[in-house]
Amino acid sequence: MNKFGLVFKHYFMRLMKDKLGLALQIILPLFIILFMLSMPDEDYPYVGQAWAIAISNYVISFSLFGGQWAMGYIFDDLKETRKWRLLATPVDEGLFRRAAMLASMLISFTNSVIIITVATIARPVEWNNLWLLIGILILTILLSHSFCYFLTIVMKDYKSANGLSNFILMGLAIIGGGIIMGIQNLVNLDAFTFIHDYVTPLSMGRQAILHGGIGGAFIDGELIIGLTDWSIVMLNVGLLLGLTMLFAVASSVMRRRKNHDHV
Amino acid sequence: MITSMKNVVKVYGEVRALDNLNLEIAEGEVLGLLGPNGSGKTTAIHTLCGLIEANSGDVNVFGMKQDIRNLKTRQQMGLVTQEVTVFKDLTAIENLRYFGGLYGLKGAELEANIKEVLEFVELTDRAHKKPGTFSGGMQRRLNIACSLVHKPKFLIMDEPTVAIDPQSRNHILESVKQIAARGTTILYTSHYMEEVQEICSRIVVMDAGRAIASGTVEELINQIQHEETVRITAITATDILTNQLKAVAGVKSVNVTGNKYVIVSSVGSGNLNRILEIAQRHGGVADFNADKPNLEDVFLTLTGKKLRDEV
Repeated sequence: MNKFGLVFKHYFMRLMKDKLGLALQIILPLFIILFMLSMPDEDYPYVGQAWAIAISNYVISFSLFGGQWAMGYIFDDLKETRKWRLLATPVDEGLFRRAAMLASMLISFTNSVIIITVATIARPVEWNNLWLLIGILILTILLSHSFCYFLTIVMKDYKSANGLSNFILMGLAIIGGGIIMGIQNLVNLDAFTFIHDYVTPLSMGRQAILHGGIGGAFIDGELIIGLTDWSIVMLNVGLLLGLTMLFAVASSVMRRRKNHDHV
Repeated sequence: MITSMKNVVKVYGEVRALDNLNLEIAEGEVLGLLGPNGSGKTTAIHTLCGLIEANSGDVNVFGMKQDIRNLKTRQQMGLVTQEVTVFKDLTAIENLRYFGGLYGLKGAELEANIKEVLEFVELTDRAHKKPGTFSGGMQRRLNIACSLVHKPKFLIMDEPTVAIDPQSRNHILESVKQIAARGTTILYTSHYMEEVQEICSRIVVMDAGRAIASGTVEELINQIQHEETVRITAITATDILTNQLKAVAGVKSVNVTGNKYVIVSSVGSGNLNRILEIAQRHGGVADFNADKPNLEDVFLTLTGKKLRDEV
């Protein structure tokens, strides 16, 4: 096994032994989805498509939090407790970071697939375009990890990084999710609808899957200013990719600058 | 030379953590690095390991220039940090497998080294237990084992006995002696003079980022002009005894409180027997002791600071 394989396996094993992490990242989403699935179906047309939209929204929302798990390990190993010990080994710091992130991404993705599988078995979900959902999930998982990777570079300690990431990710989940639409129903401001529909990564992922087929009958007549469904999919995929790249490039630049500052 | 640092400067903002530091360590040597907190010991160690880069000066390890990009030198180096850095969620053997693997060991060689280091630190029976179930001393021994599993040629130990019980400390000190006996070059830092005195062949005293003295314990003691204090409890205190003691060559002062005499004389004046002889003749000796200068005095004289009080 080469060194990347060794470090990847090491993080994978530790993540799988982390009881609190497993509870928050795997058991909790699974528990919530099982609770959702236990609700009786209402008898109306396109119920299968409604399930597909609900499950898609749910897994995308949770995938945005995936990067936080690996972030804790990176802080502990490379910025806090074990920093000097691990950096004194003949292994590049970047390899530790990449391996930890990849292990976390794999678990995050597997968890989403398990949720989708459970939902498909339990309910007559009409996915229409499951591969698009898988693709968007990969993108949101990448974005989440890219953002948290960036925090491991710019933030000094885990406590601050975790606090900031919680604030941002929870905030995005709230304004991109159902809560802001509840406020919209009260105040009737178009701005809230706009934010909910287009501004957050959750909105981008949702727009892409809805217009890519999963929206089915629910998306009719909701085209944005003359764009075709697939243009909307590509636009949102591009935005998610762009954000992911933005954090990746910023991380790379900041790491180089920090290395330079050692001199 | 295994390693050398020449005129190394490392600045953090306004602070010169290393101020033209010069340090050389010969192959097979056990060098003790002494210094109070903030003297630059850890910065020196991090620079030697290539974990931080100096602003100026030359750092060489195994004949290669050391810097943060040089991973080759690290292959043959081991670092034992002050903190226990083993993974508490892995067993002892999993920790050793991981650290060995990071140094490129695999297969039979890795397993043989693991068996050897576990025996060496006397943790064979704990191999499959998690370090969370270990005592503080056992965790430190595992910490050391993880730094030895790849059999480094040059081992750096940064205060490896901090906050452990005397039994574990003795065990670690014995281990260090055995590692040194195998020919491993060791750089050892500690706040405990007696440890350094016991295991190191040479000592470097650091203060304010500089190496201010270097040598064996005896050489360092000889470097300082110090006084020797002799305490005598006489059976009978007499003026003759006081006057006779004051007349001894090298004696600087004689203080008398009741029948207790405190005599201060120059180190190396060789007058201890003379003082005892006079005391026995003119008053009789009930009790006697003499304080010779030790490493603590050397440190205090050179830096103006007490080593352990600074901790």
